[in-house]
Amino acid sequence: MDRIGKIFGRKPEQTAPLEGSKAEPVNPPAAGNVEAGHEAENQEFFGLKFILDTGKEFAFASLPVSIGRSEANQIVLQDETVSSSHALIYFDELVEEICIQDLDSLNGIYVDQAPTRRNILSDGVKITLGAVDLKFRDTGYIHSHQVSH
Amino acid sequence: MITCPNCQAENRSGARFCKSCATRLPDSPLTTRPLVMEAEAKNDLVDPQTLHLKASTTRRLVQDQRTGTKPLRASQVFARRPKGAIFCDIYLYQSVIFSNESQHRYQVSMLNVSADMQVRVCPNPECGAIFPPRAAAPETYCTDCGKVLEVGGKNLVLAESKNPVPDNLVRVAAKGLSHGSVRAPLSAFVERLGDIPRHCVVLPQTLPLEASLSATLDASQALKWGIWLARGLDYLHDNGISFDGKVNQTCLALVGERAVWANFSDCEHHPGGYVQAREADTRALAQLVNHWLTGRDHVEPDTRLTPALNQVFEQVSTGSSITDGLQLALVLENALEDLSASHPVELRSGHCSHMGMVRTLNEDSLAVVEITRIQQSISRPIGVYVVADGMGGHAAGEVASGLIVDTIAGKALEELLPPQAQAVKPVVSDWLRIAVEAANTEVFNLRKSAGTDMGSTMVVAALIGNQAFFTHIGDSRIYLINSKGIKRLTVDHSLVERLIATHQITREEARYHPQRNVIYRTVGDKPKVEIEVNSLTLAVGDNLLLCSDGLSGMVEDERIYKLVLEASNPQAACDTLIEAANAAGGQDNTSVVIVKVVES
Repeated sequence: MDRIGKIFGRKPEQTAPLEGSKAEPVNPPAAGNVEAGHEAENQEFFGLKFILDTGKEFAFASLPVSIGRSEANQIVLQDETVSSSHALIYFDELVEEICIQDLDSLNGIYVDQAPTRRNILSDGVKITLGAVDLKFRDTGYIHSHQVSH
Repeated sequence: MITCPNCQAENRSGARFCKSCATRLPDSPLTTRPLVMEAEAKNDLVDPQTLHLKASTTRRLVQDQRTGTKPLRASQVFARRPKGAIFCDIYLYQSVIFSNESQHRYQVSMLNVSADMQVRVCPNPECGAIFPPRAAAPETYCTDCGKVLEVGGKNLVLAESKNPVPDNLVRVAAKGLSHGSVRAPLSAFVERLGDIPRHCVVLPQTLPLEASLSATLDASQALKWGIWLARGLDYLHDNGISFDGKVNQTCLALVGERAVWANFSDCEHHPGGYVQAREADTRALAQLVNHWLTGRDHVEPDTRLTPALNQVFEQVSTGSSITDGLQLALVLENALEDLSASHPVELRSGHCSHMGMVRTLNEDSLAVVEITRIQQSISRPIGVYVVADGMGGHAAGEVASGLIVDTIAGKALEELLPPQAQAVKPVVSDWLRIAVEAANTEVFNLRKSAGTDMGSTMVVAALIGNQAFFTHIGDSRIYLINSKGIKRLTVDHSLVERLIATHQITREEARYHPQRNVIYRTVGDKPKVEIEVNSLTLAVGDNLLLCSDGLSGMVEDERIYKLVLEASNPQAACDTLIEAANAAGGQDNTSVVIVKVVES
């Protein structure tokens, strides 16, 4: 996870308090105003975000992030179609991208409605686990790309 | 198994070159083939599941995540994967080729997994064999043509299906076949998406044959396809795969300009990993070649074919003497040679070697060996042309280059013209390789005993009629010059060519690069030298120009082209080229050989 450390290390103060923290919503935007909320946040927030349809957000500054029904996960989804340990978001050293990996869940994972097992995640895709949808936002990684171009 | 006579490595049945030292392996004629079947070749492939574990950068959490999870309506639709999908942890989605409700085909590329898990390919455009990763003793050299393998796997096809992969295909994949005329599935695996299995096969990229095939093929192309496929068929038989006579165009696909065995859905596996009865497949293949030549579905004498070819097809269909792929390849090769001899040509050549305007010693050597043969009024000339550019100063460079041209000219005189009685004609590309190896060994031994730093570059071309075979070491070059233009057939083994290939400098900058004289491969430097033999069919009017860097370093390609085309004959062209090099400064020895193909 060295590379991720470097990428995310550029704005340490802002992201530090969130590190490793569990599923606390950050500035929950008002429902119906989600898009507008992001535009404003993009300038200051630096990291990964998972946004539920309800508007609830999970924000992280480090990887990996595990998702599942059990309390042991970093993102806990209380839905009976989600397996107890359903998926893992991690930085893949071979692909050099942030990826999602299905952890042998019962209902599988979908990226932009298409079934997959291991997949590159790019900013803005919709992740589906069981019956739960999560919007994925990746401001940190995108930022590092813009710098390198 | 064939044990290499040079390094004792064990090679797969059907291999022509040793996988670890590229030594030409003896052919296995029928008499020496095992009567007792070999045990099925042990599965030396890397298991996709192992790949999975090794390639994985995540650690699996505890199994059984599912207790108490409610199953969804489990989408009945067999949907295709999203952009960015990674299959079996090693293949990355590139694009969708084809998709329907029960099967998807994707173009995929292999991720940067460690070297021992990479798919390797033969860079020879005439071969292109694909080598899946092996658990033990992976190949360094192509076992079909002897070239050094390169890392590949950037263009693969992954077919994903709702239904299990047929058992015979899984078994073909497990054999890990590698042959220039075979594009077999590389691996087969099952991947579970949620609870739903997906059956995947990874295949080399090929084009469907039918679409690109007109009614009849050009005769020489049909014969070439037949030769390659016959060799490939023998390889498949050696590895226990047959089609039980059901050979037709659906078994084949197109790669570049050649047909290959690519569809194994109708194949049978033979116990013991060896096919004893080869007549049915061989006959069916011969009928297919006959179909390409004549458009007919059955064999009957055809006036458009040469008498020899009619005889071949009759022999195969009556099943008398041609009973396996190798024999079929051999008779088709002879037919192809007759075909090219029916357009007889003659060779005209010129040569010149000059010290230049600056040096006081000419370290270049050249040799021309030409044999004029006219048999039954048909001209079948043989020509061997060598230019060597020696290095190492007095009593070194000129000795090395002289030794090279003498060795090759001597071998040409002794070996290239086979006595009439000898049925087996030498394979010219093999002969050339062996001759250059011999020259290298001579110079290496002399350098060791003399204790000098002698060395040499060389370029050599062997022409049998209008068939040219050529190879080079260092920065001596061959050009093809005809009315269409000038084309360099060799890539210098030099530092600047490497820099150009990696886009670090341009070709223009290379001309003035301070290290433009640095070469990384020479004759006599190492006990064994890497040799790439290429071949080319020449047309009437084509000139082959062999030269040392005294010419190519002083005179631009454009000007060489102009001077050669304007000259009245090859000797005059050589003389004007030397004049041009000297006029431009003549800073090095200059040697030129030109051979022109003319109508007989």
